[in-house]
Amino acid sequence: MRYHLAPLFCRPWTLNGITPRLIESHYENNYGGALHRLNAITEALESLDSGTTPVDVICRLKRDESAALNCTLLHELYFASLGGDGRVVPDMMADAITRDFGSVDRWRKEFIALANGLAGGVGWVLLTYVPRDRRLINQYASDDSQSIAGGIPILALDMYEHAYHVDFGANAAPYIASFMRNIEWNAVQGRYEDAVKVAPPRPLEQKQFGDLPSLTVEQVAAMLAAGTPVQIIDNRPRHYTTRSPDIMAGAVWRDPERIEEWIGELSKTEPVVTYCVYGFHTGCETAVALRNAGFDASYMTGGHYGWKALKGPVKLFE
Amino acid sequence: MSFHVRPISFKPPRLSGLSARLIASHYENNYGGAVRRLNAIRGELSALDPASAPGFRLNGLKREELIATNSMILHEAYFEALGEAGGGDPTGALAEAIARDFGSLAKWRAEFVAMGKALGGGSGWVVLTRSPRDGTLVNVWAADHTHGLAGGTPVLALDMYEHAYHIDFGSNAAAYVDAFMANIAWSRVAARFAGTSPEDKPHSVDAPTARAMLEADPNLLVIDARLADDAASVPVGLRGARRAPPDRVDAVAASLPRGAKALVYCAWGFEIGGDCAAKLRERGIDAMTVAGGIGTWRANGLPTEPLKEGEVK
Repeated sequence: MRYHLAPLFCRPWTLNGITPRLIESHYENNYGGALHRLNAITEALESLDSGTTPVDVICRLKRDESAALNCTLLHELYFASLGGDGRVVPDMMADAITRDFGSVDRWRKEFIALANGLAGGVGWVLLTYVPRDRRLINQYASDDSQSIAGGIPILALDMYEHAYHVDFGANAAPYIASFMRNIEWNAVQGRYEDAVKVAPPRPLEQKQFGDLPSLTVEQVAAMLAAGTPVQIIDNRPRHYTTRSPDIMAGAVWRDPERIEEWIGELSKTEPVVTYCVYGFHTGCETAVALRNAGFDASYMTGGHYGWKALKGPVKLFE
Repeated sequence: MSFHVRPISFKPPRLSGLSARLIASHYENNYGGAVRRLNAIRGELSALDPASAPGFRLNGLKREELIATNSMILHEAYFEALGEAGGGDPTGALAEAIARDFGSLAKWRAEFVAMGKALGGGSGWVVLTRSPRDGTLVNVWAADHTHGLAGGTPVLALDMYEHAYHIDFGSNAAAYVDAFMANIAWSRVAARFAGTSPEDKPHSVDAPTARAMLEADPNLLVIDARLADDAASVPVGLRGARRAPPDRVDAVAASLPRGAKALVYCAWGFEIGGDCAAKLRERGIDAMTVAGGIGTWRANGLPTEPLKEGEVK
């Protein structure tokens, strides 16, 4: 066996409004079934010669593998989400939810609404930590294989009908209410504590410009929106400006090869923001030169295309 | 209302190995739910200006519309395929076509059944489908309502969503698939294959028409013809309904003015309501039945009132 079975995490006899019979069937047939399928698929994959097997055979197995693996993982999380007093959310968890949803009540309403939307169909509602932005979101998944890349689910509500039909028939609402009443928040908080230790994806690093101040396109947009005085210089190399005939609204183009010709136009009392095509060295080098000449200069990360990707306003380049 | 729930084509308690409770829940909640959802989505879409609405909002609704529409169509094929004294093998042109395209009836059955069992624990459909390209039949796999053969005609649909069996079978999907096969009403499946639609019953109106009649005419009499057991298990009725189970039809009919108009319903729209309406018409009352009875009425999400105490019997 390649993937090992996890014992049942919650104690079925302690659950309030969900019968042991339902949990037993769910654990044995659906969780056990997924794990069994996962191992069978893994075994089939291991026995293949990837060099000679038709690609569609490999891809079919890999697609089924991702469904079975997620089904296994999410069921383990589901059983680990149950067994507590769902009403009492520990402080740290409540603070994190309030930070990202406004209040525990708002979070709860959204979570339940997503579950109701899946009633009569299939899917999962997940509370997921997203390391990229260090925040929690409620995730809606209409089958086993949908997941947030790099996200860490910490609470899972199974909305496949096998999770409730035995006890509740088609009446999903009381099942959802029972689930909410039985959430083991201490375990959820434990998983949250683990999740926040995961670092966000590594940002682009340009060691040679390590100390150079920079602004994101969002920050520059906010400065413009707030009317903050700022001198924005488009320092794309000349040949790039002919390829992309638009320019950020509010910026002037100045040739990075001829700083000495235009540096005199700049004011030392207002900050200067430089940028180039993508935000690599040209804008940075210009910012360094301007700082050496005594200007309050920084560069805009992402450059011209970062600004356009943000859907910042542009005008035709003259 | 642009779409309405169609009457069920068999008496739910008469299947073998599939309980009336399962069928009624499936029909009302899942099939009826799809139709009601579809109407709500259509309402939202008609209120939307596609030119100015954000793309994700428009296409989010269009995705939901596709899911609900296919769920409606497939559930109709599913319920149409079931019936009393069903099972066995098809005959006639359908049997010949299956044998032609699968090698034999047994080979078709083996594949169809195995596909259904393999969907156990998840969701989806197995649909015997006629391809529009060359008219051949193929068993189509679907992991959700939106999968299907483009332009294909569903001939026989097996619902493998867990709502179709968990109430009766728990997670034992294999036993459910076998029970489904044992209840297939092949004559109706053959009619689907041949493209013939069932004839309208005389003296019968569909649920939305009945509702419009009720709203238009406050004097319209409403007669609840259900047996006591059926009334007890669903203790609600249409507005102002008078109970007239079979043993009391004559007495009720005698008490009604000749020439009056009446709407008659029973549990599922079969003989009980039909016989009651026929008796009323013999007494000079212009009686129509509600197609599909109160089961279809409720699945359409139409309003009911609780039966008053003593009215159940």
